[in-house]
Amino acid sequence: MSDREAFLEGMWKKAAEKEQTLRAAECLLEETAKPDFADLLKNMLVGIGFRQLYAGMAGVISIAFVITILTAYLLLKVVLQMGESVYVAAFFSAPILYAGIFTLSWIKERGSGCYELQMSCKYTFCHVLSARMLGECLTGFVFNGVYAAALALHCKADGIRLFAVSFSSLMLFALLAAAGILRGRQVRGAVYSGAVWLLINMVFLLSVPAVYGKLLEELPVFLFIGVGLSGMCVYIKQLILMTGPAFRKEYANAANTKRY
Amino acid sequence: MLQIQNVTKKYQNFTALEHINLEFENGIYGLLAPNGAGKTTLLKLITTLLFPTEGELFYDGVEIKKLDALYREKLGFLPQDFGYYREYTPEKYLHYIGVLKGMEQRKLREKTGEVLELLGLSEQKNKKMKKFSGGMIQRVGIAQALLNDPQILVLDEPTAGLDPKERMRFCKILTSLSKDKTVLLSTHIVSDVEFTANRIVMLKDKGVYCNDTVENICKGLEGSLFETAVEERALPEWEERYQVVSRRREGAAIIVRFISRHAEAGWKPVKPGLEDVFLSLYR
Repeated sequence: MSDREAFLEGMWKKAAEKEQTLRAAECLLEETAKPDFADLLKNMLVGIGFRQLYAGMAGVISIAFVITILTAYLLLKVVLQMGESVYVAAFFSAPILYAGIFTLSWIKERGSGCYELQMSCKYTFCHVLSARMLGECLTGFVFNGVYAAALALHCKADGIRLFAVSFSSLMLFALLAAAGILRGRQVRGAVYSGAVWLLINMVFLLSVPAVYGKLLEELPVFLFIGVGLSGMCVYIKQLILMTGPAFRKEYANAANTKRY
Repeated sequence: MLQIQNVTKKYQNFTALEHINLEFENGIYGLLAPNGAGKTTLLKLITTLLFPTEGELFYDGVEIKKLDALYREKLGFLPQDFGYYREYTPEKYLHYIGVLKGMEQRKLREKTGEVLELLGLSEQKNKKMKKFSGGMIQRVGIAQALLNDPQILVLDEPTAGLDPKERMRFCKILTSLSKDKTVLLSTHIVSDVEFTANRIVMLKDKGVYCNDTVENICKGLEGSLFETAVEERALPEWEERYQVVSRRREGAAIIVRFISRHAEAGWKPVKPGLEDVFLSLYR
Protein backbone atom coordinates (compact mmCIF):
# COMPACT_ATOMS: atom_id res chain seq x y z
CA MET A 1 0.00 0.00 0.00
CA SER A 2 1.41 3.37 -0.99
CA ASP A 3 1.83 6.24 1.49
CA ARG A 4 -1.00 8.11 -0.20
CA GLU A 5 -3.36 5.14 0.08
CA ALA A 6 -2.41 4.57 3.71
CA PHE A 7 -3.03 8.25 4.45
CA LEU A 8 -6.41 8.20 2.73
CA GLU A 9 -7.42 4.99 4.51
CA GLY A 10 -6.46 6.54 7.84
CA MET A 11 -8.53 9.61 7.03
CA TRP A 12 -11.61 7.53 6.13
CA LYS A 13 -11.23 5.54 9.34
CA LYS A 14 -11.05 8.74 11.39
CA ALA A 15 -14.08 10.18 9.61
CA ALA A 16 -16.07 6.99 10.29
CA GLU A 17 -15.08 7.09 13.97
CA LYS A 18 -16.13 10.73 14.26
CA GLU A 19 -19.46 10.01 12.63
CA GLN A 20 -20.05 7.13 15.05
CA THR A 21 -19.21 9.36 18.05
CA LEU A 22 -21.53 12.08 16.82
CA ARG A 23 -24.35 9.60 16.35
CA ALA A 24 -23.81 8.22 19.86
CA ALA A 25 -23.72 11.76 21.28
CA GLU A 26 -26.96 12.59 19.52
CA CYS A 27 -28.69 9.48 20.93
CA LEU A 28 -27.44 10.35 24.40
CA LEU A 29 -28.59 13.93 24.08
CA GLU A 30 -32.02 12.87 22.84
CA GLU A 31 -32.39 10.67 25.91
CA THR A 32 -31.30 13.35 28.35
CA ALA A 33 -33.53 15.94 26.68
CA LYS A 34 -36.65 14.10 27.91
CA PRO A 35 -37.36 15.51 31.37
CA ASP A 36 -39.17 13.58 34.12
CA PHE A 37 -40.69 14.35 37.53
CA ALA A 38 -37.28 14.04 39.23
CA ASP A 39 -35.98 16.77 36.87
CA LEU A 40 -38.96 18.97 37.68
CA LEU A 41 -38.37 18.60 41.43
CA LYS A 42 -34.61 19.04 41.01
CA ASN A 43 -35.16 22.26 39.04
CA MET A 44 -37.51 23.61 41.71
CA LEU A 45 -35.57 22.65 44.81
CA VAL A 46 -31.93 22.46 43.78
CA GLY A 47 -31.46 24.07 40.36
CA ILE A 48 -33.43 27.28 40.66
CA GLY A 49 -34.19 26.85 44.35
CA PHE A 50 -37.35 27.82 46.18
CA ARG A 51 -35.86 31.16 47.27
CA GLN A 52 -34.95 32.30 43.77
CA LEU A 53 -38.15 30.90 42.31
CA TYR A 54 -40.12 33.56 44.16
CA ALA A 55 -37.34 36.14 44.47
CA GLY A 56 -38.81 39.63 44.62
CA MET A 57 -42.32 38.17 44.86
CA ALA A 58 -42.85 38.58 48.64
CA GLY A 59 -45.22 41.47 47.97
CA VAL A 60 -47.42 39.67 45.48
CA ILE A 61 -47.50 36.49 47.58
CA SER A 62 -48.64 38.49 50.62
CA ILE A 63 -51.34 40.18 48.54
CA ALA A 64 -52.47 36.78 47.20
CA PHE A 65 -52.76 35.43 50.77
CA VAL A 66 -54.76 38.47 51.91
CA ILE A 67 -57.09 38.19 48.88
CA THR A 68 -57.55 34.46 49.49
CA ILE A 69 -58.36 34.84 53.20
CA LEU A 70 -60.80 37.68 52.54
CA THR A 71 -62.47 35.88 49.65
CA ALA A 72 -62.71 32.61 51.54
CA TYR A 73 -64.29 34.42 54.49
CA LEU A 74 -66.80 36.31 52.33
CA LEU A 75 -67.60 33.20 50.34
CA LEU A 76 -68.28 31.24 53.52
CA LYS A 77 -70.63 33.98 54.74
CA VAL A 78 -72.51 34.06 51.42
CA VAL A 79 -72.74 30.27 51.16
CA LEU A 80 -74.03 29.92 54.72
CA GLN A 81 -76.52 32.73 54.13
CA MET A 82 -77.74 30.89 51.04
CA GLY A 83 -78.35 27.92 53.25
CA GLU A 84 -75.69 25.85 51.54
CA SER A 85 -73.18 23.55 53.23
CA VAL A 86 -69.55 24.45 54.11
CA TYR A 87 -68.41 21.94 51.47
CA VAL A 88 -69.57 24.37 48.80
CA ALA A 89 -67.40 27.09 50.34
CA ALA A 90 -64.43 24.70 50.54
CA PHE A 91 -64.83 23.60 46.93
CA PHE A 92 -65.22 27.15 45.66
CA SER A 93 -62.35 28.73 47.55
CA ALA A 94 -59.80 25.90 47.13
CA PRO A 95 -58.10 27.25 43.97
CA ILE A 96 -58.10 30.96 44.96
CA LEU A 97 -54.62 31.01 46.49
CA TYR A 98 -53.19 29.11 43.52
CA ALA A 99 -54.89 31.48 41.07
CA GLY A 100 -53.85 34.55 43.08
CA ILE A 101 -50.14 33.74 43.32
CA PHE A 102 -50.05 32.54 39.71
CA THR A 103 -51.75 35.61 38.25
CA LEU A 104 -49.99 38.23 40.37
CA SER A 105 -46.52 36.72 39.88
CA TRP A 106 -47.19 36.48 36.13
CA ILE A 107 -48.22 40.15 35.99
CA LYS A 108 -45.08 41.14 37.89
CA GLU A 109 -42.88 38.96 35.68
CA ARG A 110 -44.37 40.49 32.53
CA GLY A 111 -43.66 43.97 33.83
CA SER A 112 -39.97 43.18 34.28
CA GLY A 113 -39.55 42.20 30.61
CA CYS A 114 -37.09 39.44 31.52
CA TYR A 115 -38.69 36.86 29.20
CA GLU A 116 -36.04 37.02 26.45
CA LEU A 117 -33.19 36.80 28.90
CA GLN A 118 -34.78 33.89 30.74
CA MET A 119 -35.39 31.97 27.53
CA SER A 120 -31.66 32.03 26.76
CA CYS A 121 -30.67 30.66 30.19
CA LYS A 122 -30.24 27.04 31.23
CA TYR A 123 -33.45 27.29 33.24
CA THR A 124 -35.77 29.03 30.82
CA PHE A 125 -38.99 30.90 31.46
CA CYS A 126 -40.80 27.59 30.90
CA HIS A 127 -38.76 25.90 33.66
CA VAL A 128 -39.49 28.78 36.04
CA LEU A 129 -43.18 28.73 35.11
CA SER A 130 -43.61 24.99 35.65
CA ALA A 131 -41.60 25.02 38.90
CA ARG A 132 -43.73 27.91 40.16
CA MET A 133 -46.92 26.09 39.18
CA LEU A 134 -45.76 23.09 41.19
CA GLY A 135 -44.90 25.39 44.10
CA GLU A 136 -48.29 27.10 43.89
CA CYS A 137 -50.04 23.75 43.93
CA LEU A 138 -48.14 22.67 47.05
CA THR A 139 -48.84 26.01 48.76
CA GLY A 140 -52.54 25.72 47.87
CA PHE A 141 -52.57 22.14 49.14
CA VAL A 142 -51.15 23.16 52.56
CA PHE A 143 -53.40 26.23 52.80
CA ASN A 144 -56.50 24.21 51.91
CA GLY A 145 -55.55 21.62 54.53
CA VAL A 146 -55.41 24.33 57.20
CA TYR A 147 -58.66 25.86 55.94
CA ALA A 148 -60.41 22.47 55.91
CA ALA A 149 -59.27 21.84 59.49
CA ALA A 150 -60.48 25.30 60.56
CA LEU A 151 -63.85 24.79 58.88
CA ALA A 152 -64.23 21.31 60.38
CA LEU A 153 -63.63 22.71 63.85
CA HIS A 154 -65.70 25.86 63.44
CA CYS A 155 -68.67 24.41 61.57
CA LYS A 156 -68.49 20.90 63.01
CA ALA A 157 -68.21 19.36 59.54
CA ASP A 158 -66.45 16.25 58.22
CA GLY A 159 -62.78 17.32 58.02
CA ILE A 160 -61.74 14.52 55.68
CA ARG A 161 -64.58 15.30 53.25
CA LEU A 162 -63.71 18.99 53.40
CA PHE A 163 -60.08 18.19 52.62
CA ALA A 164 -61.01 15.76 49.82
CA VAL A 165 -63.41 18.27 48.25
CA SER A 166 -60.86 21.10 48.27
CA PHE A 167 -58.11 18.76 47.04
CA SER A 168 -60.14 17.68 44.00
CA SER A 169 -61.17 21.29 43.32
CA LEU A 170 -57.58 22.55 43.45
CA MET A 171 -56.31 19.79 41.20
CA LEU A 172 -59.08 20.25 38.63
CA PHE A 173 -58.38 23.96 38.52
CA ALA A 174 -54.60 23.45 38.25
CA LEU A 175 -55.13 20.88 35.53
CA LEU A 176 -57.26 23.30 33.54
CA ALA A 177 -54.71 26.09 34.00
CA ALA A 178 -51.85 23.93 32.73
CA ALA A 179 -54.00 22.67 29.85
CA GLY A 180 -54.75 26.30 28.96
CA ILE A 181 -51.04 27.09 28.73
CA LEU A 182 -50.19 23.95 26.78
CA ARG A 183 -53.01 24.43 24.34
CA GLY A 184 -52.84 28.20 23.96
CA ARG A 185 -49.01 28.37 24.13
CA GLN A 186 -49.50 31.49 26.23
CA VAL A 187 -49.59 32.03 29.97
CA ARG A 188 -52.84 33.90 29.60
CA GLY A 189 -54.35 30.56 28.51
CA ALA A 190 -54.24 29.59 32.19
CA VAL A 191 -56.08 32.76 33.17
CA TYR A 192 -58.80 32.08 30.57
CA SER A 193 -59.15 28.47 31.75
CA GLY A 194 -59.37 29.65 35.35
CA ALA A 195 -62.05 32.14 34.43
CA VAL A 196 -64.03 29.42 32.63
CA TRP A 197 -63.77 27.15 35.69
CA LEU A 198 -65.05 29.95 37.93
CA LEU A 199 -67.88 30.81 35.55
CA ILE A 200 -69.10 27.22 35.20
CA ASN A 201 -69.12 26.77 38.97
CA MET A 202 -70.92 30.08 39.49
CA VAL A 203 -73.62 29.20 36.96
CA PHE A 204 -74.00 25.72 38.39
CA LEU A 205 -74.18 27.01 41.96
CA LEU A 206 -76.66 29.79 41.19
CA SER A 207 -78.90 27.78 38.87
CA VAL A 208 -79.10 24.47 40.79
CA PRO A 209 -77.75 25.24 44.27
CA ALA A 210 -79.43 22.22 45.82
CA VAL A 211 -77.78 19.78 43.40
CA TYR A 212 -74.39 21.49 43.77
CA GLY A 213 -74.42 21.21 47.54
CA LYS A 214 -75.91 17.73 47.54
CA LEU A 215 -73.25 16.38 45.18
CA LEU A 216 -70.47 17.73 47.39
CA GLU A 217 -72.13 16.36 50.53
CA GLU A 218 -73.18 12.97 49.27
CA LEU A 219 -70.70 11.76 46.71
CA PRO A 220 -68.25 9.31 48.31
CA VAL A 221 -65.02 10.83 49.73
CA PHE A 222 -62.83 8.37 47.86
CA LEU A 223 -64.29 9.69 44.62
CA PHE A 224 -63.03 13.20 45.41
CA ILE A 225 -59.66 11.82 46.44
CA GLY A 226 -59.57 9.72 43.28
CA VAL A 227 -60.35 12.73 41.11
CA GLY A 228 -57.71 14.78 42.95
CA LEU A 229 -55.03 12.11 42.60
CA SER A 230 -55.79 11.50 38.92
CA GLY A 231 -55.76 15.25 38.35
CA MET A 232 -52.43 15.50 40.15
CA CYS A 233 -50.86 12.80 37.95
CA VAL A 234 -52.03 14.50 34.74
CA TYR A 235 -51.01 17.92 36.11
CA ILE A 236 -47.46 16.76 36.86
CA LYS A 237 -47.27 15.24 33.39
CA GLN A 238 -48.36 18.59 31.95
CA LEU A 239 -45.71 20.45 33.96
CA ILE A 240 -43.04 18.05 32.74
CA LEU A 241 -44.23 18.63 29.17
CA MET A 242 -43.85 22.38 29.71
CA THR A 243 -40.13 22.04 30.41
CA GLY A 244 -39.51 19.86 27.37
CA PRO A 245 -37.92 21.15 24.16
CA ALA A 246 -41.01 20.53 22.01
CA PHE A 247 -43.29 22.81 24.07
CA ARG A 248 -40.53 25.39 24.51
CA LYS A 249 -40.15 25.59 20.75
CA GLU A 250 -43.88 26.09 20.24
CA TYR A 251 -44.09 28.59 23.08
CA ALA A 252 -41.07 30.59 21.87
CA ASN A 253 -42.35 30.71 18.31
CA ALA A 254 -45.84 31.71 19.45
CA ALA A 255 -44.42 34.43 21.72
CA ASN A 256 -42.50 35.90 18.79
CA THR A 257 -45.24 35.57 16.21
CA LYS A 258 -47.90 37.64 17.96
CA ARG A 259 -46.62 40.89 16.54
CA TYR A 260 -46.70 39.68 12.94
CA MET B 1 -17.89 26.57 16.25
CA LEU B 2 -21.42 27.76 15.56
CA GLN B 3 -22.91 26.94 12.16
CA ILE B 4 -26.12 28.18 10.62
CA GLN B 5 -27.14 25.93 7.77
CA ASN B 6 -29.70 27.00 5.21
CA VAL B 7 -31.92 28.65 7.81
CA THR B 8 -35.22 30.26 6.88
CA LYS B 9 -37.51 31.93 9.39
CA LYS B 10 -41.09 32.75 8.59
CA TYR B 11 -43.64 34.45 10.81
CA GLN B 12 -46.98 33.31 9.45
CA ASN B 13 -47.04 35.06 6.02
CA PHE B 14 -43.94 37.17 6.56
CA THR B 15 -40.44 35.85 5.78
CA ALA B 16 -37.81 37.47 7.99
CA LEU B 17 -34.78 35.45 6.88
CA GLU B 18 -34.23 33.20 3.90
CA HIS B 19 -31.57 30.51 3.33
CA ILE B 20 -29.00 31.87 5.74
CA ASN B 21 -25.63 30.12 5.83
CA LEU B 22 -23.05 31.34 8.32
CA GLU B 23 -20.16 30.00 10.37
CA PHE B 24 -18.86 31.63 13.52
CA GLU B 25 -15.50 30.80 15.06
CA ASN B 26 -13.72 32.55 17.94
CA GLY B 27 -13.50 36.29 17.42
CA ILE B 28 -15.75 39.31 17.16
CA TYR B 29 -18.43 39.34 14.48
CA GLY B 30 -20.19 42.60 13.78
CA LEU B 31 -23.73 42.13 12.54
CA LEU B 32 -24.71 45.19 10.55
CA ALA B 33 -28.07 45.91 9.04
CA PRO B 34 -30.68 48.59 9.29
CA ASN B 35 -33.69 48.14 11.53
CA GLY B 36 -36.10 45.53 10.23
CA ALA B 37 -33.52 43.64 8.16
CA GLY B 38 -33.66 40.51 10.30
CA LYS B 39 -30.80 41.15 12.72
CA THR B 40 -32.85 40.52 15.83
CA THR B 41 -34.51 37.45 14.28
CA LEU B 42 -31.06 36.00 13.53
CA LEU B 43 -29.92 36.68 17.09
CA LYS B 44 -33.11 35.15 18.47
CA LEU B 45 -32.46 32.01 16.45
CA ILE B 46 -28.93 31.80 17.82
CA THR B 47 -30.12 32.32 21.39
CA THR B 48 -32.96 29.75 21.03
CA LEU B 49 -35.64 32.39 21.54
CA LEU B 50 -36.90 31.32 18.14
CA PHE B 51 -36.61 28.16 16.11
CA PRO B 52 -36.07 28.07 12.36
CA THR B 53 -38.87 27.28 9.95
CA GLU B 54 -36.32 25.49 7.75
CA GLY B 55 -32.66 24.63 8.18
CA GLU B 56 -30.66 23.95 11.31
CA LEU B 57 -28.16 25.49 13.72
CA PHE B 58 -25.21 23.44 14.91
CA TYR B 59 -22.75 23.90 17.74
CA ASP B 60 -19.57 21.88 17.33
CA GLY B 61 -21.33 19.67 14.81
CA VAL B 62 -24.40 18.86 16.93
CA GLU B 63 -27.85 20.42 16.38
CA ILE B 64 -28.45 23.01 19.09
CA LYS B 65 -32.01 21.78 19.64
CA LYS B 66 -30.54 18.45 20.65
CA LEU B 67 -27.95 20.06 22.90
CA ASP B 68 -30.79 22.03 24.52
CA ALA B 69 -29.68 23.15 28.03
CA LEU B 70 -26.07 22.16 27.31
CA TYR B 71 -26.04 24.76 24.53
CA ARG B 72 -27.80 27.45 26.56
CA GLU B 73 -25.21 26.99 29.32
CA LYS B 74 -22.62 28.21 26.84
CA LEU B 75 -24.62 31.30 25.92
CA GLY B 76 -24.40 34.86 27.14
CA PHE B 77 -27.09 37.16 25.79
CA LEU B 78 -27.90 40.82 26.07
CA PRO B 79 -31.29 41.43 24.43
CA GLN B 80 -32.13 44.75 22.83
CA ASP B 81 -34.84 45.46 25.40
CA PHE B 82 -33.13 43.98 28.36
CA GLY B 83 -35.48 43.36 31.30
CA TYR B 84 -34.59 43.77 34.94
CA TYR B 85 -36.30 44.04 38.29
CA ARG B 86 -36.37 47.68 39.35
CA GLU B 87 -36.31 46.84 43.04
CA TYR B 88 -33.21 44.66 42.72
CA THR B 89 -29.62 45.70 43.33
CA PRO B 90 -27.11 44.68 40.61
CA GLU B 91 -25.65 42.08 42.95
CA LYS B 92 -29.04 40.50 43.69
CA TYR B 93 -30.01 40.63 40.02
CA LEU B 94 -26.78 38.96 38.90
CA HIS B 95 -27.30 36.30 41.53
CA TYR B 96 -30.78 35.59 40.19
CA ILE B 97 -29.62 35.40 36.58
CA GLY B 98 -26.64 33.26 37.62
CA VAL B 99 -29.02 30.77 39.24
CA LEU B 100 -31.08 30.62 36.04
CA LYS B 101 -27.87 30.06 34.11
CA GLY B 102 -27.29 27.02 36.31
CA MET B 103 -24.13 28.36 37.93
CA GLU B 104 -22.79 26.78 41.07
CA GLN B 105 -23.07 29.07 44.14
CA ARG B 106 -19.33 29.52 44.84
CA LYS B 107 -18.48 30.25 41.23
CA LEU B 108 -21.47 32.60 41.01
CA ARG B 109 -20.26 34.66 43.97
CA GLU B 110 -16.77 34.88 42.50
CA LYS B 111 -17.96 35.81 39.02
CA THR B 112 -20.49 38.36 40.31
CA GLY B 113 -17.72 40.35 42.01
CA GLU B 114 -15.50 39.97 38.96
CA VAL B 115 -18.00 41.25 36.38
CA LEU B 116 -19.20 44.07 38.61
CA GLU B 117 -15.58 45.21 38.93
CA LEU B 118 -14.99 44.81 35.18
CA LEU B 119 -18.01 46.96 34.32
CA GLY B 120 -17.23 49.56 37.01
CA LEU B 121 -20.30 48.74 39.08
CA SER B 122 -18.63 47.63 42.32
CA GLU B 123 -19.54 50.79 44.18
CA GLN B 124 -23.18 50.62 43.07
CA LYS B 125 -23.62 46.90 43.68
CA ASN B 126 -25.96 47.43 46.63
CA LYS B 127 -28.01 50.30 45.21
CA LYS B 128 -31.45 49.62 43.78
CA MET B 129 -31.49 49.57 39.99
CA LYS B 130 -34.52 51.87 39.80
CA LYS B 131 -32.14 54.72 40.62
CA PHE B 132 -29.72 53.86 37.80
CA SER B 133 -29.17 55.82 34.58
CA GLY B 134 -29.68 54.15 31.17
CA GLY B 135 -25.92 53.65 30.80
CA MET B 136 -25.62 51.97 34.17
CA ILE B 137 -28.53 49.64 33.43
CA GLN B 138 -26.87 48.73 30.15
CA ARG B 139 -23.67 47.93 32.04
CA VAL B 140 -25.62 45.61 34.34
CA GLY B 141 -27.00 43.98 31.18
CA ILE B 142 -23.51 43.43 29.81
CA ALA B 143 -22.41 42.09 33.22
CA GLN B 144 -25.15 39.45 33.25
CA ALA B 145 -24.22 38.37 29.71
CA LEU B 146 -20.61 37.82 30.83
CA LEU B 147 -21.51 36.16 34.12
CA ASN B 148 -21.30 32.49 33.07
CA ASP B 149 -18.10 33.01 31.05
CA PRO B 150 -20.00 32.12 27.86
CA GLN B 151 -18.48 30.51 24.79
CA ILE B 152 -20.95 32.40 22.60
CA LEU B 153 -21.64 35.97 23.57
CA VAL B 154 -24.57 37.58 21.76
CA LEU B 155 -25.06 41.31 22.22
CA ASP B 156 -27.97 43.13 20.61
CA GLU B 157 -27.28 46.88 20.44
CA PRO B 158 -25.00 46.76 23.49
CA THR B 159 -23.75 50.34 23.24
CA ALA B 160 -27.19 51.93 23.28
CA GLY B 161 -27.24 54.38 26.16
CA LEU B 162 -23.50 54.26 26.82
CA ASP B 163 -21.45 57.48 26.75
CA PRO B 164 -18.28 57.60 24.55
CA LYS B 165 -16.00 56.72 27.47
CA GLU B 166 -18.15 53.73 28.41
CA ARG B 167 -18.28 52.63 24.77
CA MET B 168 -14.48 52.66 24.53
CA ARG B 169 -14.20 50.66 27.73
CA PHE B 170 -16.79 48.20 26.45
CA CYS B 171 -14.94 47.70 23.14
CA LYS B 172 -11.73 47.07 25.10
CA ILE B 173 -13.47 44.41 27.19
CA LEU B 174 -14.86 42.75 24.06
CA THR B 175 -11.45 42.63 22.40
CA SER B 176 -9.91 40.96 25.44
CA LEU B 177 -12.77 38.43 25.60
CA SER B 178 -12.80 37.50 21.93
CA LYS B 179 -9.60 35.46 22.14
CA ASP B 180 -11.42 32.30 23.16
CA LYS B 181 -15.06 33.17 22.52
CA THR B 182 -17.43 33.84 19.67
CA VAL B 183 -18.73 37.36 20.14
CA LEU B 184 -21.67 38.46 18.03
CA LEU B 185 -22.35 42.13 18.17
CA SER B 186 -25.42 43.47 16.47
CA THR B 187 -25.60 47.18 15.88
CA HIS B 188 -26.45 49.89 13.41
CA ILE B 189 -23.67 52.12 14.79
CA VAL B 190 -20.90 51.31 12.33
CA SER B 191 -18.08 52.75 14.43
CA ASP B 192 -18.84 50.23 17.18
CA VAL B 193 -17.65 47.35 15.03
CA GLU B 194 -15.36 48.94 12.44
CA PHE B 195 -12.24 48.72 14.57
CA THR B 196 -13.12 45.89 16.92
CA ALA B 197 -14.77 43.20 14.78
CA ASN B 198 -12.71 40.54 13.04
CA ARG B 199 -15.45 40.02 10.51
CA ILE B 200 -18.55 41.88 9.48
CA VAL B 201 -21.80 40.17 8.54
CA MET B 202 -24.20 42.35 6.59
CA LEU B 203 -27.81 41.38 6.00
CA LYS B 204 -29.85 42.50 3.05
CA ASP B 205 -33.05 41.30 1.39
CA LYS B 206 -33.60 38.62 4.03
CA GLY B 207 -30.22 37.04 3.32
CA VAL B 208 -26.51 37.45 4.03
CA TYR B 209 -25.10 40.17 1.80
CA CYS B 210 -21.49 39.69 2.91
CA ASN B 211 -19.41 38.02 5.59
CA ASP B 212 -15.87 39.33 5.38
CA THR B 213 -13.19 41.46 7.04
CA VAL B 214 -13.63 45.23 7.16
CA GLU B 215 -10.67 45.61 4.79
CA ASN B 216 -12.11 43.31 2.14
CA ILE B 217 -15.56 44.81 2.40
CA CYS B 218 -14.17 48.32 1.91
CA LYS B 219 -12.04 47.16 -1.03
CA GLY B 220 -15.22 46.72 -3.01
CA LEU B 221 -15.75 50.49 -3.03
CA GLU B 222 -12.11 51.47 -3.66
CA GLY B 223 -11.74 53.77 -6.67
CA SER B 224 -15.47 54.45 -6.82
CA LEU B 225 -15.86 56.87 -3.94
CA PHE B 226 -15.38 60.59 -4.50
CA GLU B 227 -15.98 63.94 -2.88
CA THR B 228 -16.74 67.20 -4.61
CA ALA B 229 -18.30 70.55 -3.82
CA VAL B 230 -21.76 71.14 -5.27
CA GLU B 231 -24.04 74.13 -5.17
CA GLU B 232 -27.06 73.62 -2.97
CA ARG B 233 -29.56 74.02 -5.82
CA ALA B 234 -27.73 71.36 -7.86
CA LEU B 235 -27.90 68.82 -5.08
CA PRO B 236 -31.20 67.13 -6.08
CA GLU B 237 -29.83 66.52 -9.56
CA TRP B 238 -26.64 64.99 -8.09
CA GLU B 239 -28.64 62.75 -5.90
CA GLU B 240 -30.54 61.55 -8.92
CA ARG B 241 -27.43 60.90 -11.04
CA TYR B 242 -25.13 59.43 -8.39
CA GLN B 243 -25.48 57.39 -5.25
CA VAL B 244 -24.74 60.04 -2.64
CA VAL B 245 -23.43 58.46 0.54
CA SER B 246 -23.21 61.58 2.71
CA ARG B 247 -23.13 65.36 2.54
CA ARG B 248 -21.82 68.20 4.68
CA ARG B 249 -21.94 71.97 4.39
CA GLU B 250 -18.71 73.97 3.90
CA GLY B 251 -19.53 77.64 3.57
CA ALA B 252 -21.95 78.17 0.70
CA ALA B 253 -21.19 74.84 -0.93
CA ILE B 254 -22.22 71.32 -0.05
CA ILE B 255 -19.50 68.67 -0.08
CA VAL B 256 -21.03 65.47 -1.36
CA ARG B 257 -19.53 62.03 -0.96
CA PHE B 258 -20.77 59.78 -3.70
CA ILE B 259 -20.21 56.63 -5.70
CA SER B 260 -19.37 56.72 -9.40
CA ARG B 261 -17.94 54.10 -11.74
CA HIS B 262 -15.81 56.68 -13.54
CA ALA B 263 -13.76 59.64 -12.26
CA GLU B 264 -14.01 63.20 -13.52
CA ALA B 265 -11.74 66.20 -13.17
CA GLY B 266 -12.33 68.08 -9.94
CA TRP B 267 -13.52 65.05 -8.06
CA LYS B 268 -11.37 64.01 -5.12
CA PRO B 269 -11.05 60.23 -4.68
CA VAL B 270 -11.50 59.18 -1.07
CA LYS B 271 -10.64 56.00 0.84
CA PRO B 272 -13.86 54.18 1.68
CA GLY B 273 -14.72 53.25 5.24
CA LEU B 274 -17.24 50.74 6.54
CA GLU B 275 -19.76 53.52 7.08
CA ASP B 276 -19.59 54.36 3.35
CA VAL B 277 -20.29 50.76 2.41
CA PHE B 278 -23.11 50.59 4.94
CA LEU B 279 -24.72 53.81 3.72
CA SER B 280 -24.35 52.91 0.06
CA LEU B 281 -25.87 49.51 0.67
CA TYR B 282 -28.85 50.54 2.73
CA ARG B 283 -29.59 53.85 1.08
